[in-house]
Amino acid sequence: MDATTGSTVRTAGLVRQFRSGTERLTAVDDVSLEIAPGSVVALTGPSGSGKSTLLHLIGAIEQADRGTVTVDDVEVTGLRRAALARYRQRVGFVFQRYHLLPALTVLDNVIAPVLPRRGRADHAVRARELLEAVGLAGRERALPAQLSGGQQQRVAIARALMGAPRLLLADEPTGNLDSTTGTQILDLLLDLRDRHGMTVLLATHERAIAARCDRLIRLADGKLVEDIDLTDGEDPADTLDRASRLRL
Amino acid sequence: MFRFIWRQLRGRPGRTVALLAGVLVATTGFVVLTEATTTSRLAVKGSLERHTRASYDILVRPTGSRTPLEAQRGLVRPNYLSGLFGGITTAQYDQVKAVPGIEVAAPIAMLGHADQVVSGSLDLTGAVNPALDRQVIRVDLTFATDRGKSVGRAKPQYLYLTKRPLIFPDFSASPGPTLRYTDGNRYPIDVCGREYAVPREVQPDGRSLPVCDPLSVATDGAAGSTMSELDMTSLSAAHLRPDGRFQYGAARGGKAPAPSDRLLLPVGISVAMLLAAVDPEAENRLVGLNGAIQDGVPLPADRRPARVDYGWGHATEFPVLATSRPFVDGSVSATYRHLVPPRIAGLPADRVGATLATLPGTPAGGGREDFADRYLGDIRKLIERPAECCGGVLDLLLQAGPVDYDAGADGVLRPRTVAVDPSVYGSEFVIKRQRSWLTDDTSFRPLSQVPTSPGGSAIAPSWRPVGTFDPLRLTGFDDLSRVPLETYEPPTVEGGDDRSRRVLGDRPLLPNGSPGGYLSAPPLLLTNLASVPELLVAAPARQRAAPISAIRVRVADVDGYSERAAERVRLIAERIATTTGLDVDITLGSSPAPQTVDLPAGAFGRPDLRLTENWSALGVASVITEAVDRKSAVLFALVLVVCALFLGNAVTAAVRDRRAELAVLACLGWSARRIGALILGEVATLGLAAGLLGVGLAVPLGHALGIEVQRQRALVAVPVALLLAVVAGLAPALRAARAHPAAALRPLVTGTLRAHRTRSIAGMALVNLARVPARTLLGGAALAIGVASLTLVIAVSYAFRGAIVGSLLGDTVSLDVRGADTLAAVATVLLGAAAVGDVLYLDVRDRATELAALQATGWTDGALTRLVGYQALFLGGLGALTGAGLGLAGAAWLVGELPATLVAAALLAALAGVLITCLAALVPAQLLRRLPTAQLLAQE
Repeated sequence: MDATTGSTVRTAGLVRQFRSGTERLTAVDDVSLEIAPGSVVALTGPSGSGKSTLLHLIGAIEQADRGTVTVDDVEVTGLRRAALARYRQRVGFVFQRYHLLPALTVLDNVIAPVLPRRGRADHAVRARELLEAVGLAGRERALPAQLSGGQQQRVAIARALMGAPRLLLADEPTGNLDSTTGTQILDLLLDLRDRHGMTVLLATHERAIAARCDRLIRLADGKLVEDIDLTDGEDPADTLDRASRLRL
Repeated sequence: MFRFIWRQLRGRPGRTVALLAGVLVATTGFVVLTEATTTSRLAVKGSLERHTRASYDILVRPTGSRTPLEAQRGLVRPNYLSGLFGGITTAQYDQVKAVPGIEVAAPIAMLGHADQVVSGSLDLTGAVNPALDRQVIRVDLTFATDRGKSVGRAKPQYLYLTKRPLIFPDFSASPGPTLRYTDGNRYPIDVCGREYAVPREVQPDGRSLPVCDPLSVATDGAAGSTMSELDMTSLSAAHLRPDGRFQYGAARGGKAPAPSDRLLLPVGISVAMLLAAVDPEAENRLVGLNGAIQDGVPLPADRRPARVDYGWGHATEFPVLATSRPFVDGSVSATYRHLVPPRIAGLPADRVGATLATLPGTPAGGGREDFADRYLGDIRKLIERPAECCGGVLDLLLQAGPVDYDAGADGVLRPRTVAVDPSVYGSEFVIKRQRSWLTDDTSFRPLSQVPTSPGGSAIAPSWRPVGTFDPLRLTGFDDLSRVPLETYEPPTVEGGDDRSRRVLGDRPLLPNGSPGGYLSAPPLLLTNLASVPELLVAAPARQRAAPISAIRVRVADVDGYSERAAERVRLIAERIATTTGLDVDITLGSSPAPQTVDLPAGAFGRPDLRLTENWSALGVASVITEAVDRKSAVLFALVLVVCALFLGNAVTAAVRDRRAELAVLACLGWSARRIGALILGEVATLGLAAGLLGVGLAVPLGHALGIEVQRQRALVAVPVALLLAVVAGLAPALRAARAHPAAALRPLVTGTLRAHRTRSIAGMALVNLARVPARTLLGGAALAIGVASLTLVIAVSYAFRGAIVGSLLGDTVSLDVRGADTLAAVATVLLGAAAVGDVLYLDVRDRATELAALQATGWTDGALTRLVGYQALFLGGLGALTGAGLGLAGAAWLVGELPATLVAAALLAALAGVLITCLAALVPAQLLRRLPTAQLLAQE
């Protein structure tokens, strides 16, 4: 598997509003931040605080109303549709509900992002390696419906890694899982980060998950209200304590 | 309940309007399209009625006269009366006449060919050298027919011109061993070898020497022998007077022939004219014979043959009405050579020919005579001089049999040639009877001879015209439904390929006057039935007992083809067949059907020809009507089914959208019946509204498309829309009513039961289609029906152009059919394609989250569009190919065969269906660009 270097992510004055009836709701309100390459950043905050929207804006799934997103010196917010699609090919996205294609096998789900591209034989080999890496070797021919939630999320992670991304965005990746499985998924993500050096930005409202990240960014009502560096050299045994102090 | 339904409809204006539009489009389309096919059906029937008026509706022929080829192809050959010499008794004719409901029953008794020499002349004046005392002009005749392609070169004719006086025999005086000449003396009649009186040249010493004609010895032989007109070499004599005028010909009443400024050489050809007996009154009612009289008087029905005294002998004369148009293709051209002979007068006949044949000569011009131009003049002379000998010779009747064909696998007919014994042209009363040069041509008909009785006279019987009739002035009927022997016109035979057309000079081939020739002219001489016993006195007993060859029957109150008329004619035909036991063919609704005939080369240089000959296809109108009825029924059904499928898909989608709401109602205690009634009530309300709107829309929409939609037809929109809506809503309503509330929580589109290996976009498209089999089948079925109807319409057009009937009427009717049917079929294809587009649209909508996930992983718009495009292609291909197959099966049922061109047409229709489907897929593909990716992925 390729060793990669994580992306640098910068947002400046990012705003995203939605219309709800006659009202306008600001989901992301003037968020400016910078994420160092290779770091694992937890986006926290209550429901509706703008975590998912911020991830969607960075992943170019959604268009910002104002402000910019710059990834590795490329201003994503200024890209056209085709360039955006190429950008998304370099970004891995993991969803809370996995969003696997139910009619495709596990292996084909992993291959799906690169299906329109050439090199089918290479794709299959790489997909098998990824499935092995996420602990699903031997389940290639299974359908998503035949897997547990945790296994489905592992497939989703393998799928996200198929394009060898330098940036992995995970929207509540453990939100639908029990705590044990959630921990395993986080272990997997951290392990992958360690091995591939990618930047990981994950939205979560679970303290235990956030506590294991390098940095914690907390949003409230779309605004960035707190930005904590969790790599201050403390003993890992303090992690839970530290997490308990976090107002997630 | 109704209030609840109304609120539901008002509460979802978008869905209500979409469904209303669906029902409206389907209903209005149905009304307009069915009107179009009904109009086209009526147009076809009107066209049939207009074009199927013929002089007779039923043809009655002797038992067993229908040839196997006619029976096999449902045709009647154009010259079906050839070879049909009797077979129906007068008692049977009376039985036919007695059948109620018959307007006219016109019998015709074919009697045989009578020879008529059509005379002409060649002007030799310009070839005369006035300075010479004696000179001979040699005339080399070339006969031509078959548009100049059959050429016969005759032995030379000579004209001896002398400045010495000539004396001429007087044939009006009593014949004997000697004959009186114009000098008042009698000279022996056999001076040139046999009884053959010739002019005599007066010598300077006052003696006269005969100018013998070589023909006088050439015609020696036994009674019954014959001689072709090509072998007749003869010598005429003329006196060149000091004043430069010419004296030649026969003496009359002791007077020498009158001098003339022109020197004319008589020439003639023998033409066989078919003689038939008719009931003049019935014929007049059938084709308006009396209205076509050109000279003389109509043929009296009761005038019997007369014994006419010419003063020097008597003979029996039969009254006939002769055609004014002989339809003879024949001409003669001549080249002249000037000879300076030694002494001719006094030479024996056998030495004259030998002497002249060796003489060198110098060219002296030429001439030409067209016998068709001469014919009418000859006939008029016979009418104007009733007491003068003689009419057309009737020493014997030649009866020509039918042509036998070999039918090739390619459908081309090849007439068989037959050998004819020349003795059939001979007469026991004549030595070296002259016969047409064409009797030595290739023959296609067996010939037999029926001698006539001279009734104790030395002069053979003859026919005497009482008048002439113009065949072109007989009551004309439509060219598209012409039946044989309707107007006494010759069969129309055109060149069937470029080479043959070139050979014929782009003109039709005409009968050449030979009884054994391929083309048989219609009867050109009509006598009455009263003359038949005397004419057939020496005929076989079978023909004498049953002289009538055919009866043409017109049924009362039938004026063109209609179902009522067809039934009426059928009943009467059945009655005739039962009563008489004769062969009965219904000619009502028949039409000329072009057949290809390969005519072998002739013996006189005519090359082989490929010809197109119009036979009569029987029952064309009924075949067309049945095919049109079947086609209309099929199109009606197809339009309705496509509309129902289109709507069913829409209603199903609408109900599916409301699964959660219906589940809530179920949880609140609504019974399944009540939920079903709610859905059906909503759909029926929409159907009613769409039907009412359709009533108003159908008329202007039809007007815009050039289809006049009747108001009553437009009213059909209401029940149709209601029925369509209820039928389309029934299955979704039942499913919704029976569904467990928990089902509402399941995803709209679930996975397949089996895992599929999917390594390409095309593979993924196939999997997607397999995931919703019912919907896929529905879309495919709608398109299949559209393509099937288009294939059927092409098949119908094809069928009417040739496969079913191959008739001129079929060709014309197909023009009426194509426009409206094509519109209906194309609209059905479009509806089918719209149904496929709808299926794809629903698929994109239902699987939007999956597509959003793919988009989020980097799939480009192009890749997603390809995915939808492949789905359209597969769905379109499935529907179109199935439709083409169904259409071909239907076509095979309709046409009765499956020619390669039809298969190619079906494939083209399928291709068109696939292309239209791909175009219809552009709408759902466009939807992809507006997918709310983020919202879809964020949905819990």
